[in-house]
Amino acid sequence: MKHFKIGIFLMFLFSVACSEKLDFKQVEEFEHRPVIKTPLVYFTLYSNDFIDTVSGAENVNPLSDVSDFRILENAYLRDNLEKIIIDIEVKNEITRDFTVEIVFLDDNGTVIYTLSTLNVPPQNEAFTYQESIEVRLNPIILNTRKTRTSVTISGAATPLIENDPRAFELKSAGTYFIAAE
Amino acid sequence: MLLFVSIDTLTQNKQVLYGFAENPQTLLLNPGAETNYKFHIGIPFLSGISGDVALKNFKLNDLFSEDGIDFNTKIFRLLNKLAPEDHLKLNVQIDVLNAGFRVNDKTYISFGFYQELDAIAYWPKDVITLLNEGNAPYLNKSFDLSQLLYKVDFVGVLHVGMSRKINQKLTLGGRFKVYSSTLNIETQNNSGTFTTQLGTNNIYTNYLNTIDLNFLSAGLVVNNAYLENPMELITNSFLGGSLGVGLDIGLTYHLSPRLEFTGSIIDFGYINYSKKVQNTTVKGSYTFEGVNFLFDPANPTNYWAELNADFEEKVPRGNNTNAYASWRPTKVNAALKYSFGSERRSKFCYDNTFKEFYTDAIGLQIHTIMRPLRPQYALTGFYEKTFTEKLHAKVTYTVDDYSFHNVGVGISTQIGNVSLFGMVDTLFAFNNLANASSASFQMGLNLIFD
Repeated sequence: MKHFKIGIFLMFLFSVACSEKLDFKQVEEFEHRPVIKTPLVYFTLYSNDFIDTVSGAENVNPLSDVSDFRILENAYLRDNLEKIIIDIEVKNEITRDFTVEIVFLDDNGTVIYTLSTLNVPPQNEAFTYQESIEVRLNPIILNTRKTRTSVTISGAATPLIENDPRAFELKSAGTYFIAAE
Repeated sequence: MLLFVSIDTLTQNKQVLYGFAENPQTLLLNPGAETNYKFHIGIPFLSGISGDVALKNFKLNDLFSEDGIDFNTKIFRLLNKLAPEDHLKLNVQIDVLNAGFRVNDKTYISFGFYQELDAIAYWPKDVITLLNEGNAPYLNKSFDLSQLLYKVDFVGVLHVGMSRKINQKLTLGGRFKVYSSTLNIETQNNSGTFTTQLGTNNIYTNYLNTIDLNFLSAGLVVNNAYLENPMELITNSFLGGSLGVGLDIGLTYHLSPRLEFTGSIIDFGYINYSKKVQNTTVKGSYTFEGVNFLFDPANPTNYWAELNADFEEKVPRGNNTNAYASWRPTKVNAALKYSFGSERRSKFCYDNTFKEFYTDAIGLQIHTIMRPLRPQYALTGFYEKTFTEKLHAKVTYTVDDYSFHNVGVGISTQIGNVSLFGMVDTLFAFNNLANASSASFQMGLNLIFD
């Protein structure tokens, strides 16, 4: 019986485990702040894109294209996006000025945000532009569902040369700053 | 607190119980273990309970200490410290029924049913880093998706085994098992990387390279809805789940009267998951450079729809309900035990013969378990002390993945026909579980009839 009691006592000892005081509420302070980079729109235009194939005259109207842009339909992004930085790089080999207008549209095609117009000087092969959009100050940006880019060539200083291999290239990227609890 | 450990807490390395005091439960670790009783009956649900939780390279107080350090700083430190081979493992085993009887002086039959929850999840460091910090700070880094590796299994195990004394030196044993798994989720053998690099056509290019991901589940999803009644997992574990078979084999061999070798292979088997299966696969490669505007108003392009269609075509995702098989986590045990001290004789009551034994023993044990990433090894040194024929104690010192100084202790006592054993591992951790990487216990209550 004595040994049985020793056994019970030892069993009791084994079962009395301890732990220092822990504070699990700290989890509430957890915040993760991922920063995500993705490529956006890119294109290359040549002199021929600004010359009317029939009349041979220069096309002074802006060239324009539009795409759906639906990543902001994502509820996680809508709830936690803090800031978007748009980076643009232009390589203009053509001997003319260009203006580029990039706008964000909602599902109805209404313009809800316009980036500052880019004025790209002639033959500037390292033009860069960055615009930061704080979601807190521009919450409507979250309604973006399309993006449109319009490119206009400046008036004739030096005439365009047909089949000129020199190009106007634009690249862009978005950096999304997320703060989620 | 014991309850806390059991709730809070694979098939664990039961180094204290292995080969200890000829307890009936040791037959589940080595079917070739020697026994010296006529029959045994386990107290239902209490004959063998064990729990084990281990977090490799992580302690609770890394994160939750009241140390005044900003929680996000602690998270950042932890994320940097953890490696893809670090993992969380959890094993809870409850013996529902366990009994055995002696057929003759050489043969002992034992059988029963136990339930086991076994889980291991490796730390997908790259995936966590990507989710937590994004790709921006990691240009050119290939985030490795093969680090996604986990396996969770809830099984009921029906078993019958036999140990047979071949001669004075050798005892052999085997156990046949039928597994019934009511829940399995696992992902293994994944591959693929995600990389962001400076691009040529655009500023950045995102690459998904040779993605091949498989997420398998059985018992979790029925008709596209998650399991609603968790009790089904338990009630169906008695042959109502996905079935499998397995084998345990083991031996005891006396090299000399004082030197004994034991060895076993446990859970050499597999389960064919066929019930309530829902698998998801993702496969392919994709290069994303953004949207290439063509400025062709005569033929406007729906870039976004094209992008989606192209992605779906190149990285198809699919669901299926195909049955799949998965190996059980097979364990291999081996031990060498040297006995010394006073020589005593205990009566073998079933045939009125006597067995000589010694009061003290030391030895070495090795334990290996097959795991999804790689086998895990543990080396244990032990000292066993017999106070009386009915009271035994064992102290172990184990070196394994989780600790280089894991001390375990166990006692086994018998009063009348009641045999009680209790053992804890990571003994020094029990005074502060928060500072432990692992904690485990085993206990059991059986009736033994000599």
